[in-house]
Amino acid sequence: MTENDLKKAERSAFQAGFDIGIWDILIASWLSMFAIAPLLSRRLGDFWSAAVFVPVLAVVYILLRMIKNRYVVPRIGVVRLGTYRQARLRKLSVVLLVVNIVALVLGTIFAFIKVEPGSMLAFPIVFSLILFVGFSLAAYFLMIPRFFFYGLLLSVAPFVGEWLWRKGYSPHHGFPVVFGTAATVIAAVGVVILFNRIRGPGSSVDEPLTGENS
Amino acid sequence: MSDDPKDRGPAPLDWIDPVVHAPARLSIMTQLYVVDAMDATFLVNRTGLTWGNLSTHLRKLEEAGYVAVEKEFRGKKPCTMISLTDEGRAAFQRYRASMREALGDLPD
Repeated sequence: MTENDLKKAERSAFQAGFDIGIWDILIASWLSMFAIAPLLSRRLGDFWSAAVFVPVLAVVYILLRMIKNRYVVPRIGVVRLGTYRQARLRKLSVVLLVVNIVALVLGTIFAFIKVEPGSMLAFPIVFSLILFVGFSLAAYFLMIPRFFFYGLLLSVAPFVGEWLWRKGYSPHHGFPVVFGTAATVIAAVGVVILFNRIRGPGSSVDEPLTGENS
Repeated sequence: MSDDPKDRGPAPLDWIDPVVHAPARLSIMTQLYVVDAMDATFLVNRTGLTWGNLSTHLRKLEEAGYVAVEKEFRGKKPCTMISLTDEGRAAFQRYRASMREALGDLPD
């Protein structure tokens, strides 16, 4: 039994226990904020159009936790991660915190500086880069390659949105179209994974451990 | 016949731990080695063993002091958490080393 076999076994156990589509649905819920908030901004203002999503995200999170505890855990069981994986998740938390702080600082700078019409691409470039870096790091630390593709998809989205907006096909820099589409795709992937986990083999109860042979 | 250990042929297999060596128990110990603990449902799904088989092999591993089985309640539902003991981890590492020693330098 080689180190690689054990690493594969660890990764497989982690994915079986935690990669159950809920992350995808949460990401999609978060992305839907970018799609819907611009449409609400005229009525609610920039701040409240985004802030209104905090309780929405909280409700989605609570619902997903309920689904997990009621339908997924009884079928797939429970696993407590080892020290290697816990350390990796801690590193991911720190790295994503740094990415978010950088995004916050850059967002604040963009909010206060006057952007020249010719440099309008600066915002999509920075936004794309942050999304790509964030999702790529998550893909690397969680060892879930599809997050890297989410990063690629989302890093293209602001440019496509900008193009749609300049051509007059979509308002609000194309955000409702591109992030709405991305959120739908990612949510669909999450729902498929979640249903597969619920439908998959596994006992629905913690049966008593009694021997049938020796 | 010479008494020189070098003349005895391949590495002796008598120090391979029979408790770990059985395929089902090796599968259980491998799954438990890479995590902190898992419940019986997760272990059944990972190993593909039946509940009865799992129970039998877990009892043997428990008797050898290699696994710890703890009953917990998650809300109102019972949950059997299983983990490797320190002795179990050491036994698994010894087993890996033994197998490498025994099979590592065989020709392809």
